[in-house]
Amino acid sequence: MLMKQNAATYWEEWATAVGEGWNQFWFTPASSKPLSLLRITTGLLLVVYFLSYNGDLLRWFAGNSLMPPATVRNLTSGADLANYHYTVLALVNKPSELWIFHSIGIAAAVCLAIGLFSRAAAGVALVILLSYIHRVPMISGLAEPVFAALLFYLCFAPSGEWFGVNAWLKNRKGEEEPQPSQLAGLSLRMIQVHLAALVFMMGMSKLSQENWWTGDAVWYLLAQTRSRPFNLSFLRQSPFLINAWTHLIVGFEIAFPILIWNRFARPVLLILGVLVWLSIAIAAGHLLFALTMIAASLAFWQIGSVERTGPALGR
Amino acid sequence: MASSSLSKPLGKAKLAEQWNPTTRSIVSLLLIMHFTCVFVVLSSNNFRSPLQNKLVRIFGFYTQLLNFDPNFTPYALTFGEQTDDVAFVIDLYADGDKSVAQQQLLKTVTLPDRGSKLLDSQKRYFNLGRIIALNSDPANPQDDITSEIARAVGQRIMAENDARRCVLRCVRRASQPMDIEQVLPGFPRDNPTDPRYDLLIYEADVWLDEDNQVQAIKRSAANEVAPRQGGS
Repeated sequence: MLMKQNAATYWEEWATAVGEGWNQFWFTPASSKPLSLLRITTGLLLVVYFLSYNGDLLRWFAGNSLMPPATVRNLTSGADLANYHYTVLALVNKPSELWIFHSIGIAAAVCLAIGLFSRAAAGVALVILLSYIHRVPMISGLAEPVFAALLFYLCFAPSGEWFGVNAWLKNRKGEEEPQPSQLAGLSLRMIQVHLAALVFMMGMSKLSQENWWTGDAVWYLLAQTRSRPFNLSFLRQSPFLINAWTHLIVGFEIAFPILIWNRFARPVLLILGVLVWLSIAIAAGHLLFALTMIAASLAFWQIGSVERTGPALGR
Repeated sequence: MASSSLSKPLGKAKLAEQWNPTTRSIVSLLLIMHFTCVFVVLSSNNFRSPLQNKLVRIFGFYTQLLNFDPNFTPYALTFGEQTDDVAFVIDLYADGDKSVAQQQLLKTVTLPDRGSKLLDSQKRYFNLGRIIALNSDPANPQDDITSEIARAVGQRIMAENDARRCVLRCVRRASQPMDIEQVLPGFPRDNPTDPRYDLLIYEADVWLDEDNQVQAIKRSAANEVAPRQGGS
């Protein structure tokens, strides 16, 4: 009887503690300033991403491209494959229409960066980004899944409240300053959790490859003469440096999703993150990916003040 | 440091209206559904169990459509192979009806032929080359996939250059080991881009027939051909 009562009390306390913790984690109000910074950086990087297609737009996406729609369909369909590669580009036939579509994407990214109709701009930019990705999914790189996630969250996040055209117009009209909100807190938390999961996945993928354990993975990147942006092969004289660089990348990617929630470790990890992501760009040329990861990390900037001073909920 | 500059302490700030418990419950349910899908597809990036494979397909309408699923995007960056990225080397000829031995070479195009190394422009071509490389494994060649890509790439490059026949080659360059002493005899130590490092992994004849239909015939498998001679 006593044991039964103890068990009931335990589960009751457990449920209360989990519920309170859940509410505090997801629904604590937060300032939307970090979201606004994230919106600006994502918008700017997206402009660069779209512009990187300028030279090859017709080569990749025209009807007679390197990967015509029929070829993509044949390569992506199969009994074992999920195939939800829907693209608005299926409706775009002429080169002039393709350029108009591309220009809309760039305009949406610019609007996002300057904070003009931010949510709508994020939605349009996401649709165009996904159209490019699904039109030729085999050429998608490391940055696209990060871009897609950021744009998805910016579709409902109140990211236009600061540092943008709409914010400036509201300010001119003498409207009240935006207040910390639960939607801002929730949006930030979603980006943080998604980012931590992405980085953890990157670390795990590396741990499944022997050369990340043996410390020479970075050398394999530096030795790739076709894709490396800089010739750093002189570093073969310092094998310990190559080993340390390799271990630093894996160590960071494993530590980040665990320690980033600790407010003392967070600033160190964010600074280290800039170095690690840029070092990957230098070694392998993934600059857009590196900058997108650095931009996404902005979502972690505000947490300290929320944890210390945010009001508790659900009580 | 990172937390101080962005906002006033929230305890002093006026707060926006808060959600009621029903709204929070609905949002919580959506959060659980969303992140279950996201965690499943992210954990299936490198290798997959049959269960993960099944779940990835079930969640595909959401995760693939919104590109949350990185699929097999190589976030490991390198698989420890001592090889470089795959480039396309395409020899172009004017006449689709004559064999290459019977006509003059118009031009050789090497892809990627433009774009930045730092942005993703060149990497898009390498991604395509990697698919050919993966499917040209002599132990398990997937000729339907490689010929599909060869036809499409050949057709586009022929159209760009007014050609009607081409020989499409996928060339992978061997990378130098970290210890220069381990470079094999016959390979120059001072020039890692020397043609002797190039390995032909796929080669096909692609041409336009009299009906303007594109045709492709694979020439040989990687283990049956000698490395390509001359520069790329």
